[in-house]
Amino acid sequence: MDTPVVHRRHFLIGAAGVAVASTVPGMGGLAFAQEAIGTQAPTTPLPDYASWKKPEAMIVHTELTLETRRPFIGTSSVVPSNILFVRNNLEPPDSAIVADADAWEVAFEGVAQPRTMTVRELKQLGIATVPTVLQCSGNGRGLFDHEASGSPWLTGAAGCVVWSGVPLRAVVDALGGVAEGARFVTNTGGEVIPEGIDANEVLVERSVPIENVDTIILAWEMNGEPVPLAHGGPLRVIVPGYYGVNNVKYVKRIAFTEAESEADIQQTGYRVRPVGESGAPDQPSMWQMKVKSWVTHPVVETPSGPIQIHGVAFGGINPVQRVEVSTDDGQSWQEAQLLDPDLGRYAWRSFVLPVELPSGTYSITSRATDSEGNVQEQTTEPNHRGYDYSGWDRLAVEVTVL
Amino acid sequence: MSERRLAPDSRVSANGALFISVVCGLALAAGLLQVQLQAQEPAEQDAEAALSEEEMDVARQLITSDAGPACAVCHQLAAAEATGTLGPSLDQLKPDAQTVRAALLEGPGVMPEYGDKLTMEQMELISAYVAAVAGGGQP
Ligand code: HEC
Repeated sequence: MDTPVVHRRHFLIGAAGVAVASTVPGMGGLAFAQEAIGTQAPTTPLPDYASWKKPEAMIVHTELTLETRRPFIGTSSVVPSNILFVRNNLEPPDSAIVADADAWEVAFEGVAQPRTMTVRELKQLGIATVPTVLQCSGNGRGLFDHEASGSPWLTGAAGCVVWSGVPLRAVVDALGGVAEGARFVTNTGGEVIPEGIDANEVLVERSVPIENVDTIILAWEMNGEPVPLAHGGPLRVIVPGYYGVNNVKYVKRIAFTEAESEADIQQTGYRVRPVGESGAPDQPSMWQMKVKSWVTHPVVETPSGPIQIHGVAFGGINPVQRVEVSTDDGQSWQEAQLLDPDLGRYAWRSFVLPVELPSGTYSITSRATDSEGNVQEQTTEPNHRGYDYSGWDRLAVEVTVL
Repeated sequence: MSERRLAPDSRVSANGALFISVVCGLALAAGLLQVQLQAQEPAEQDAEAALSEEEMDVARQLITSDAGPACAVCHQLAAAEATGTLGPSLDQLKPDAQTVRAALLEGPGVMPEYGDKLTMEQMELISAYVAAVAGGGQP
């Protein structure tokens, strides 16, 4: 049987995959590399709700999971909406909800005066604009060796985008303040759940610590446009510095609660644990993101002469302080320049290092440090669900300088 | 058959799965969860027996009604006349047996875990069946 056998997925790091391709029988090495960097049209079509994405920039894992190909991330900080990754936990609701976005209703509970408000009313309460890194918990799953279930994302389940909406604090103030004893903000998504299923089993409902009440915004605008259905419009909860799953789409209920949500996605899902262990509420939840960076150019090959190595870096809830780049698999490091503009602590920062490299093959990688002195890890220990591979070892790219 | 995670478009196609024997699958299932999560190789390669008509019927029955909750509520699988759209279409994903098995044991994202709902034998049967028929529309 002529099936590809590849034993170490992480050789595929980045867009490359050239090394692997040559060992794969029955698969053209060149074709494979081209597919990976996106010079070939994808063979799986974009789902209808995301048909406006740029097909050559996207890897379609499933209808619910679309990844941005690594070299499509540029140096101007903000990722254009038409190449931003998509990760939906469930099929999105009917697109009619974004056609009349201002009429969308959200129930506020656990406040002094609980009530339902429309987006139209929320727009009267205040506006804040916040650039944040949106990163799926599973970003880098494909770089682990253990075959965790779910999409094998490489680096492209992340993007920096600009949100506009009302600060949650302004809404809370308008509703008389938070009820006593509340410890979490619990947000419920508006996906339609079919009959015959225990709602807690599939409900997209996430709780985050209440301290976030001062940074959360309820966004109706993304990158200068109404939030598209694919990204959670009409209204999405943005919890700056937190993994994507906490940024609940089509939010229909916002509750200040004493306990975390009873939904499986909160209780047992998105919990970090050793490989082979079941999820449980006492394990760390996928909340704050870790310091992380990766190179986005060059990724496969490049002519010799001057080369501008560039990439992106972020620190979760902390700003990035510095980024170092290595062209020799981490043996030596050089300080990269952080590019302006600095879009704030929750955004990512582009970096660049100009080098001259003679012909040959190089393992190029980057290492970020945040303002608190946290350094990007060298390697990420396997965790059962394959969450957030952020080690600079496997985020490296193998580049041939011609 | 082996790993599926090269790149999405190079996922191992389902055709070889027709030959997956449920018996071999069961041998695998006897291992620990941890072992199953490792890259698996030998079992499926040497497999020869196809699913019998009877096994196919049992698998379809589980997928469309008995699995609790039934896969068909959330997934499309033409061969079993499953038309759910809440989760990804299995016909489009064309998973191999290992991918299905891992999904049943782990419950990725908001998919329910089936480790406590189905027997290992049932899970192996479903995995072999889905791998064999996904994308084809042929039972
Ligand atoms: C309540 C809805 C629901 C039910 C019932 C359900 N699934 Fe899923 N399934 C999902 C969702 C949602 C995903 C996408 C998971 C993710 O986010 O990665 C999924 C993903 C999968 C995948 C892909 C995993 C991967 O590696 O990407 C397979 C295979 C699968 N399901 C098989 C099954 C089978 C077989 C059954 C029945 C025994 C079943 N599912 C029952 C919702 C469901």
